[in-house]
Amino acid sequence: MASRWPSVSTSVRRRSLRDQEQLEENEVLQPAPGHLETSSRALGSLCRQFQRRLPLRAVSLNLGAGPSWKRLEAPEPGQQGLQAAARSAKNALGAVSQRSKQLQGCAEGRFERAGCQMRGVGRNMPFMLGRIQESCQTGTKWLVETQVKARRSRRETPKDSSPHARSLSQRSTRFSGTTPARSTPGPWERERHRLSTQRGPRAHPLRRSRREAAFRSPYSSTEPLCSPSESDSDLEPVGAGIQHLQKLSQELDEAIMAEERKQAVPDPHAPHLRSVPPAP
Amino acid sequence: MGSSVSKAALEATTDELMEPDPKHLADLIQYINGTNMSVKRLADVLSEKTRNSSWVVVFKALVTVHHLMVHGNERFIQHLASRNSLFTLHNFLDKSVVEGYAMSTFIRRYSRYLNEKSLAYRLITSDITKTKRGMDGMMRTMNTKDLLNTLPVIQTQFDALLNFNASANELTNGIMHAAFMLLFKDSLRLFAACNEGILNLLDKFFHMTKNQCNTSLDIYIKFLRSTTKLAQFLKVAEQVGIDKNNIPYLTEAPSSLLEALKQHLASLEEKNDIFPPYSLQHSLIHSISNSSFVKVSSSQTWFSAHKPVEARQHGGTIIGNNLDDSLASLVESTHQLLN
Repeated sequence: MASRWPSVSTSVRRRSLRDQEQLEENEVLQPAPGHLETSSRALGSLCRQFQRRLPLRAVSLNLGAGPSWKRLEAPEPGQQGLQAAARSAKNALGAVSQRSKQLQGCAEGRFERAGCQMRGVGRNMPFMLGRIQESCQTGTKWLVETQVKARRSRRETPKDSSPHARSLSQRSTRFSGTTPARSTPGPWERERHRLSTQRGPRAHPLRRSRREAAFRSPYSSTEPLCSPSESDSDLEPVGAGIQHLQKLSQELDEAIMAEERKQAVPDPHAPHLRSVPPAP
Repeated sequence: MGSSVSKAALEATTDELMEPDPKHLADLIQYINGTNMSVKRLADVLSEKTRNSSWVVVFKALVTVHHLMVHGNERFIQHLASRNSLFTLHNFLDKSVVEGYAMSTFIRRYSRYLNEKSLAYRLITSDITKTKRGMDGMMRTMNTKDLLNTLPVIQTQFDALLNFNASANELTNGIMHAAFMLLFKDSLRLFAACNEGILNLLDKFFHMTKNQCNTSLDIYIKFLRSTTKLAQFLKVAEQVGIDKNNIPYLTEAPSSLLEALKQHLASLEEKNDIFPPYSLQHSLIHSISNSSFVKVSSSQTWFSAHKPVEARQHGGTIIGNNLDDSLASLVESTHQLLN
């Protein structure tokens, strides 16, 4: 991801590091540009600091109902401003998402073992970090849609005809929870997959199912759009009654035909009997 | 009329306590079906026999007439239907013999059925027991108006047949047995025609008017009662030895069907209550138009009620500036009119 957004990667990293300054006392970790995966060493030092530090103040995180980030730039009618805002916000989300995942792994595995005194915060950390990740994912979807709109308004071409737009639509489809169309996942897909596998499928299933339901078309629901109409219940007894009478009609026809066949047999004891047409 | 035919008619209606001889009946059938000779004389001979005092002669004459109606050409029943009166046996009583009292009861019932059979032919202009059945039959293809007129006629004839109401113990002689066999034959065909008429009726029920639904519901309820009586009649038929293969198996119709029909009629009646008859509507509109708060034309009034007060002032004479007061007055006057 960092290679795609080289112009803003540095500024985003500095911002994320500023968040860590609240926890660190002396050292300021500067991960090498373009190597966010090597922050495991930073995590280790971070955890050591957590062990040393007593007492720790509460971490205040903005865990409101909606996304916790602000738009970097206002959505201007101009396409460039919109595109740049999408890029910067996307980069920020990616960094925050990665950092929150790292913190969560540390909080779950090491805080309890080390007997850290910030246990109260440690127990809430996974939940809070999970909320951050959800916010990131929701925001990511908004970003993708924003990008799509920007590209559409710039190019003024149908979305489906452009291969790049197609890839974006595929990505948005993927983020909505459906099966990905292509085999090689992009960086966003890898991130999402890693998050889902590490957290487990049971993590927040209700929120996930709600999100997926929201992305799906309402007409794809298997539930009926309306309750069984009252007319169906009225027609059932009428249908049953008609079937009963039709069956009765068949019985009567069979009995009548059997009787007529019996009457058609001539009487051998009638000498003056002439051919009498059978009664219909 | 040929001598052989008259002889056959007289031979079929003797005072011998036995059923009419099939040989004589066959001769009469041949005369009706095989020739174009008038059947009037034959009908007169048989009608004369029904005025005999002996229950045996009367009963045998009725059985012979019934046999010719069933097995003979339609011109015989057509002739009977054209007569002003057929059998006047509603007061018949043979007190000369012991069994005369019981047999007289069945003669009265049997003669009534034959009268209804000829009357039905006159009203429907066809013998319903000989009409075509099935999806393209007469009763399944009849329109609503004819259906509502024809079904009651069939039901009246069918009720007269079921009113014969003879138990297996009362079929003690050949004449009664012959009459019962002819009635059994008619019962299957009458009920089949009725059943097809009811099927047609149900297809049309939910598209009928309220009055038509009312009539149809009465017909259906009567049909249900007839079905119950027919079941008892068929039990007697089985007891007297009629082949079971010739007896249809009757089951009760689901009661939910009757409830559904009643509910539909009730809903139609409710709609009729919400929208009052024309006469009441007319007086209601007249009362509203003369009300004090409406002085402009009706169209302007209804449109102006939805405009702000300033807009209304531009058209017509405005009596009430307050929409709430106007509406309250309208409701009050409507309430007074309905009470």
